[in-house]
Order: sequence, then structure tokens, then C-alpha cells
Amino acid sequence: MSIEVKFSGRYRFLTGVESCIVDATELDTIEDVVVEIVFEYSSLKVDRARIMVFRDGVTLSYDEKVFDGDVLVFAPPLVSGG
Amino acid sequence: MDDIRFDRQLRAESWGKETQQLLEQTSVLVIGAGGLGSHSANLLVRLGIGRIVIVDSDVVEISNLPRVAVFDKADVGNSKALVLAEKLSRIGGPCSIVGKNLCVNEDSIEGLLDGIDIVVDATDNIQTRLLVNRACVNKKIFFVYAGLEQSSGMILGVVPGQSACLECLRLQERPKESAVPVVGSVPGIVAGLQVSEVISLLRANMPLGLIVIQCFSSLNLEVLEVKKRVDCPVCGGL
Repeated sequence: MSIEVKFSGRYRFLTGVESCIVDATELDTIEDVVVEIVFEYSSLKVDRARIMVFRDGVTLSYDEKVFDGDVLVFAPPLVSGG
Repeated sequence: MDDIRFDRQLRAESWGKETQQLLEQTSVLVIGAGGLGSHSANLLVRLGIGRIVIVDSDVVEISNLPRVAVFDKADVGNSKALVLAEKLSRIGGPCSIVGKNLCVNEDSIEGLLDGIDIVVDATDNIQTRLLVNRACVNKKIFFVYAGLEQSSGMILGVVPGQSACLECLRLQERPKESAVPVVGSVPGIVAGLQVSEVISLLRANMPLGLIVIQCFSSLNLEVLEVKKRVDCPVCGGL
């Protein structure tokens, strides 16, 4: 299964890339993709359980299924008022 | 309308008298008077908004001064909302300004929204943000969220019933730690975008999407498409 992950905002800075391909046979849920990404880019570990994941503009929960060819957007959750 | 005060923006091709009059007829509730809220309130007053209510239950601390607008060292220990309202009143112009030193919660939110056209969300915790979002969706009041961290910011305008609400984003609170890292100039940048979204909503009733900005290191601004979640507990049924 091959899934494209696009990084938004601060995640581009933290990973150093705009996007990447996650290619693995055992991917089943968003959680699996997040685990793969955090393994590859340890700088995202701090947000491990909070990353906002979008597919076609809709935010997904971590237990939702992924499909071959999915394009996901990872965006940082920002909640401080400064 | 004060044509002399607003001469430069009245001349701007994207502005004009219609927008200026629209602003003067608008009441805004700014929730949070910290880094974001102080800058957003300052911009709204200077742009010529008609009425602004500023709410915050905190006092000014010395560690706020690198990020906030208007406050200074002499304000430390005093109510953020009251000091900000008093200082912004000195700007003059058409804006009626009220500061309220109180906590936004289930008991206070309904009363705070009376007569309000749009809410500027500049609070510092997700529970309050979601509470206000829910109240705004229920009362069909425009809501503009902004949040920041490190050197990043995010803005979402919400038109109840039409666009995704804050609950749709599935935002999660940060793990408990002493304070959120924020570069001092970032609140001003994000507040500028938040106020731009306020004006866009007032003029066109349609949000841009989720605005994401990364400052410094790799300056980047993008607008992500965000759709309503059909299973959203707040706006899913609208």
C-alpha cells in the first residue's frame, strides 16, 4: 500500500520536506501511518497523538481506515493564544 | 463616518465606504486579551469596528510583554481586559469599547454573545475554544479561531451551518507543561490574518479555509481546504 503524506506549516520545517510516500504492506489505519511517519521523522514525536490528519479536506480520527493511493495532509494543532 | 481618520483605507481599491460602514455597524467579542487578542483588538479598533467587547480573567504579567500589543510594564498585575479596553479607548474613532474581567464558561457565554455579530477567539485552551465554537454555531454567530505555537499560526473562520467548525478539526490539547513556546512577533502576524478573516466573513460570508502560517526558518503560508465532518457533534446536523 502506498500513501502520500503532505506536511503543512511547522511540520515542513520540522521534517525538512514538503511530502513523502509511506509504502508498507501492513498499513491499516491512520494510526499506522502516523507511527510510520513519526519513526521516519522523530521531530514530530512531540505531537505524536495530536497531529491533525486530513483526507479530501476532512479531519480523520486515528482509527479510520486508509486506502492505497490516499493523499493525507498532516497539520500541527495550534491552541495557544500567545 | 470619519473620512479624515480613515482616508487611506477608504482610498484602497479593496475597501471603500461600503466596507467602512459595514465595520461601523459590527459588534465583535474578543475572547482573550493576551498576545493574539491584544493585537486583534488593537487592529479592529483602528480599522473602525463599531463595538468591541474584550473578555479575559487574567492579569498582565511581565512575561506577556514581548508578545502583546499596547500593554507596558506599569500594567503588570492589572486586569488584561480592563487595561486593554482603557488603552484602546484612547485611539478614539467610532468604536465603543468594553472590557470585562471575567472567565468565559458555560454560565457566562450566552450573555456575552448577546448583540454580537462575530467572535474573535484568542483564548489559550482548547476547552474554552470549543465551548465558544459550540455556542456560536448554535446561535449562528460568525466565529474566527486563531491559535499559535513556536513560530507557527493557524486561523479558521466559521460560518455556522455552511463551513467546518472548530470541532470538525479534532483539535487536541497540548500535554501539560509549564508554558507554550511562542516567538514574540508571531502573535502580531497571526492576529493580522485573523482580522483579515473577520473582514472576509463580514463582507462575503465565506471563510477562506484553514490558514496555516510558518514564520522564519521557512516562511510559508497556505490555505487548506476544510470540509464539515458529517459526524461532527456540533455542526454535523446543520
